[in-house]
Amino acid sequence: MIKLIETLGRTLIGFSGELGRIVLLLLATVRQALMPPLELRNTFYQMLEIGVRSLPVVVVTAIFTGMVFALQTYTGFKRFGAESVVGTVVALSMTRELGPVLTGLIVAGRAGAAMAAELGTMRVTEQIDALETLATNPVRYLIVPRFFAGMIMLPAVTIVADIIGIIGGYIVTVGLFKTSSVVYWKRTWDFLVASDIYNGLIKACFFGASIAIISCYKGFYTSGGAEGVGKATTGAVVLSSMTILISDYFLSNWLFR
Amino acid sequence: MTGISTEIKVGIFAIFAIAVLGFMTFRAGGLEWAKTRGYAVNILFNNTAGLDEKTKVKVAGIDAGVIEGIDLVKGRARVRLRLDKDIVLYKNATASIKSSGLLGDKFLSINIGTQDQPQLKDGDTIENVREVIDIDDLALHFLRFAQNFSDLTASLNDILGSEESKESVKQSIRNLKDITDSLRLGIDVNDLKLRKTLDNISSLTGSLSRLVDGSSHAVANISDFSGTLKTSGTDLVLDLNKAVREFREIVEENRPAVKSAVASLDSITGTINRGEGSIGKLVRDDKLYDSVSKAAEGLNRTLSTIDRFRTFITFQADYLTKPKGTKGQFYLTLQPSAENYYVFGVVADPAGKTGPGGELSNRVEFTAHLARRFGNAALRLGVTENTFGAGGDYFMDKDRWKISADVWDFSKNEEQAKRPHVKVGMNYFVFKDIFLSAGMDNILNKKGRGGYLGVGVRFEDEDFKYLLGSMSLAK
Repeated sequence: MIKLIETLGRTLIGFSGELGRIVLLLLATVRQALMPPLELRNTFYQMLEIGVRSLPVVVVTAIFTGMVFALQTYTGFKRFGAESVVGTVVALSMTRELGPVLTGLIVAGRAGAAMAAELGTMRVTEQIDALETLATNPVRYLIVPRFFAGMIMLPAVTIVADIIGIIGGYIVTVGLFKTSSVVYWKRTWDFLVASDIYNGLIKACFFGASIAIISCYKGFYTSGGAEGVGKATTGAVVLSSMTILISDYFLSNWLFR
Repeated sequence: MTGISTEIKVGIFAIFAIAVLGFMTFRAGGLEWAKTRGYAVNILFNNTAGLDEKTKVKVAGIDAGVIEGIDLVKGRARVRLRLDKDIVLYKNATASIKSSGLLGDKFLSINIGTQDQPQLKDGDTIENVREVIDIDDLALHFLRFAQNFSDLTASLNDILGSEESKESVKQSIRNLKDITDSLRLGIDVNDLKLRKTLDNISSLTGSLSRLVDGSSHAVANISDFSGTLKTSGTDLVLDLNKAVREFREIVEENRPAVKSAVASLDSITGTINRGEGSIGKLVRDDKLYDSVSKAAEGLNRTLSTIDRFRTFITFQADYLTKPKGTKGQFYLTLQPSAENYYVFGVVADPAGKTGPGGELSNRVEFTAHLARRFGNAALRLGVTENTFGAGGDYFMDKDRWKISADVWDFSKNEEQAKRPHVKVGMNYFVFKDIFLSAGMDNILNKKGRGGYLGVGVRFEDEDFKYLLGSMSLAK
């Protein structure tokens, strides 16, 4: 019994400690980010990594998501004669929800894991300590570029995912179900408002920042050699994905109500 | 991809993303300011009926602009439209609110008017507005109409009721008969023409009656008319009588003139019927019919009067100390208005009654009361347990307490009864629907005197009410 309580207490302390360290790291990152000059080269490299190189995966995911979404809504809506609004449904769900969240999850899996592995390896091979001895702030040199890259590139990738998803929906409703392409586009643009798109991008921006901070945190505080790096990588992906899905609810509640 | 620097790749991607974002927001209507502005026109509505900012404005079903803003101006809604530049409206343009689509989305439809009128400029107001028809308003009109109509018939009844006026009416009918006789003699020659005239008149009056039905203006006139009739009815009939007599004299004197008058009447009604002239247009216009049929829909709403009608059902069981036994009671209270109500009840009485042959009659008895309420007190009159009876109630604490006194059986039919049956007691509502009852029964009769104690349920019944409502409509 005592043990049980003890375990609970330890978990709680560990959790709060982790949360606290993440917030501290975030604060440190923001403080460093506000002090120019930035590590531009590094930032661009990270943008390439997070944004451009994630693009193919995101495009494939988005197009199939849009297609399957159109497929399912079409069959459903056909039952009460509302096939014409499939475009609306696909566009709204892509821009408001699926675009940001799916992109976030994919980037978390791809770039987040890479970040955690990279920083973890640097930590266990004492490269981060070496940076410190060279009077280079590791947060400034390693984390700020990733943080910025995540915040900027995730919305950029998301907007591409949005349009690709809508095109995917078009392929299915017009190509497969032979409905009018004019109706599809008309319904899409008639009911989509700019705030749908912008709020989706604000979400993506949050997701990008949290992926970067969580993955960097996991990598930065890695310990225990090669095994530790593996654990850090897994932890980074799991925690980022959870954060995305949980914060998505609260962000939606805040943005879309 | 070797040879292209990181920066270029990121840059290309950024340009692409911004282009997509720009395209999407433009299509989604987020960049209104980037489009050509067009011009603004105002419309005043009594009821915008669900119009909203950004609602589409359509001309002939094609998008022509959006609603830019809606605000209140002296209790009316001012709708500001932003129309595309190439849409031209004229002074007599009309605006109406329409709905489209599965979910009844509203849009504003504009008829651009005719080209002989001056064009509308930026900031002008469209003056012709077809308002959304408010069913409640219509129902109100009809209620007023029905009220006036019943007033009219009532006053007619008053007028025709008296002996004097009956005689006058008889007299005038006799006179009328004389006139028609004379007319017949004179007009036989023109039989064909007359028939045509009559046809015309019949279709004219048909149209007129439709006109009268639909127009609230006419309703007001009828009301005035009935008021006048009420005050000067008898005199009017006398005057009419006199007028008819004079008319007859004139007709007899001027037979040839009547003939020609009939001929010209024929030509006038013909003109009207063909839709010529302003009256003709009025009569032949289908719009009248449309508005009448819309009004008829509103009539359905008069059903809402049923809502004021309340029905209560009461079950009560009292234990009587003398004769020992339980008295079961069921009452149905119909309350058409707050002051008047009717109580119908069935009572299973342990105290039987002596029949004509001295035997105990059945113990099921009926109660029917007509009741009127004055503030906290109510008087009831009618049949109490199969005999004539009367009673009074006094209510306290928002009807939670009720003190009642009842007298019945004045003919002393009840077993061993020497005096009428008097019962005094009170009910107290413990909960909303459940009450306790207690009191003294048969106080004036020494042998029957006893106390009672009971419990009951009283609830308002909705279904029954609607059943009654539909029954009264069905007849």
